[in-house]
Amino acid sequence: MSAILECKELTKSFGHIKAVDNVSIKINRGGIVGLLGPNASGKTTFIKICNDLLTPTSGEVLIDGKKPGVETKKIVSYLPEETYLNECMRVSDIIRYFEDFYQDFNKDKAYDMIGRLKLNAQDRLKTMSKGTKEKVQLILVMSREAQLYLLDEPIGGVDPAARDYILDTIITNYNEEAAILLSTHLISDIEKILDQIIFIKEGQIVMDKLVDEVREESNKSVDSLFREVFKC
Amino acid sequence: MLSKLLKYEFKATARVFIYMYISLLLFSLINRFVNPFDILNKTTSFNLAALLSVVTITTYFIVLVGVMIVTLVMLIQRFYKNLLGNEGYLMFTLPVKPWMHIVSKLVTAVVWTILSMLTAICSILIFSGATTEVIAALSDITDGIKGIFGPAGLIILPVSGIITMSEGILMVYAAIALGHLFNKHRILASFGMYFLLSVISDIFMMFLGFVYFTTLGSDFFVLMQREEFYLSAGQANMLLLSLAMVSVTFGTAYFLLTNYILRKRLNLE
Repeated sequence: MSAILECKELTKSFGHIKAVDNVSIKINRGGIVGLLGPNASGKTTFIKICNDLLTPTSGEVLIDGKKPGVETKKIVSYLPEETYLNECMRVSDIIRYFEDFYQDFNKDKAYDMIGRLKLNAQDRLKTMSKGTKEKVQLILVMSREAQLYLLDEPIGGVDPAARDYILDTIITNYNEEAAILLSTHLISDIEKILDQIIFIKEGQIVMDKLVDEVREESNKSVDSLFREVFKC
Repeated sequence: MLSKLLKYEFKATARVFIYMYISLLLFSLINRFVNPFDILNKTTSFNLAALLSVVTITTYFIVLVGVMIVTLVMLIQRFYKNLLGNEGYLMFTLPVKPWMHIVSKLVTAVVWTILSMLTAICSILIFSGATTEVIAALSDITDGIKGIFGPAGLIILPVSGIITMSEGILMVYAAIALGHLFNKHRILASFGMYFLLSVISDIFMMFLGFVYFTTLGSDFFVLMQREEFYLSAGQANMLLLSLAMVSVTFGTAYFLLTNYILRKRLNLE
């Protein structure tokens, strides 16, 4: 399988602090990758660089062989930590908006998920709770038939019951040609869906392995390995 | 893609403006029928009609000033909140180039500013009942313009007005973008940057004026010293167009600066 995302010696400094420090990784199509690390370890900074929301200080990121820009934005579906939708819009308006701007957006899929999570497409965002807004956002992001999904803390704000549905949604809504990179610190919840793990600490990659390798080598769960590596 | 951005930008702003325009026109109509100035002129002592007149007049002017303030606030907020606030996470991951965002915000802001001005003029016409005096005053203005700039002035003056307006809006955008480079107190920094850009452009204008009047336009002062100061329509238009060219230059500089910051120095919170 070819790499959908590749970065070489990527560094991003804010003043004298290196948020991302000399990171080189490769993500192949067809896998679900967990970008795992404690708070402020550089996960969000890394994902923002891949989305062209930050310019790296040095090094480069290539998505499908191209630098982040208009062409990569067409094939990357991004879920930020923040709620980024205009509060005045109805869910149906936002679906139309996504359909207008992203060629790979599948409207039927979106309405199907809206129905299954018992949301009302006529509701305005401002009437919704924070968790519901996050669900709407995740539905929008997963309704795109993208080649790379970059999900920043996708399950942070939702209840455990919805969490299962969302993870299920993530697994069933991408095809063999696509890859998913998701960042989180809620490892035990997502462990079962991961193919590859990348541990990041103070901006540096401390481990990059396939989950099968982890289990074979140490006979440990990712969760307990994480606790070991990041022991305070 | 630019047309889609424009479509959604107008959609997102239309509701507020349309409600405002309707209420402004409504209040001018109410004033037209109540005719409060007339009541006040005839009143000798305090009564309910006089009180009502004061209320309708005051409300009208509050709404009129409100339209102007909201136009300005919307212009700032659509750029600051939609691009550099949380909504920026969506805007900057749409498959469009950053310059298109600037253009779509600018075009929308210019159109709403013009519409706000036209609505204000309409409301004044309604309020005053479009009497012969008001019509005469308006035609005096157009005659005045024709007198200075010739008939072409009726086109050149509004066009250069729109150019200057665009430059002003782009300066606001540049100031907000510069303020975004700060890690803390970004709004305060944006105000500071606006002040700084104003000072810089003023100094530059003074410098340009100095160069112009000591070289090409040296006979301008000679003209001004005559008893009857007179500029030909051609000269007046040249002066206006030169000023518009300066505005275009400044506007382009602000645009390029804003675009550079959005492309290379974006750092959403």
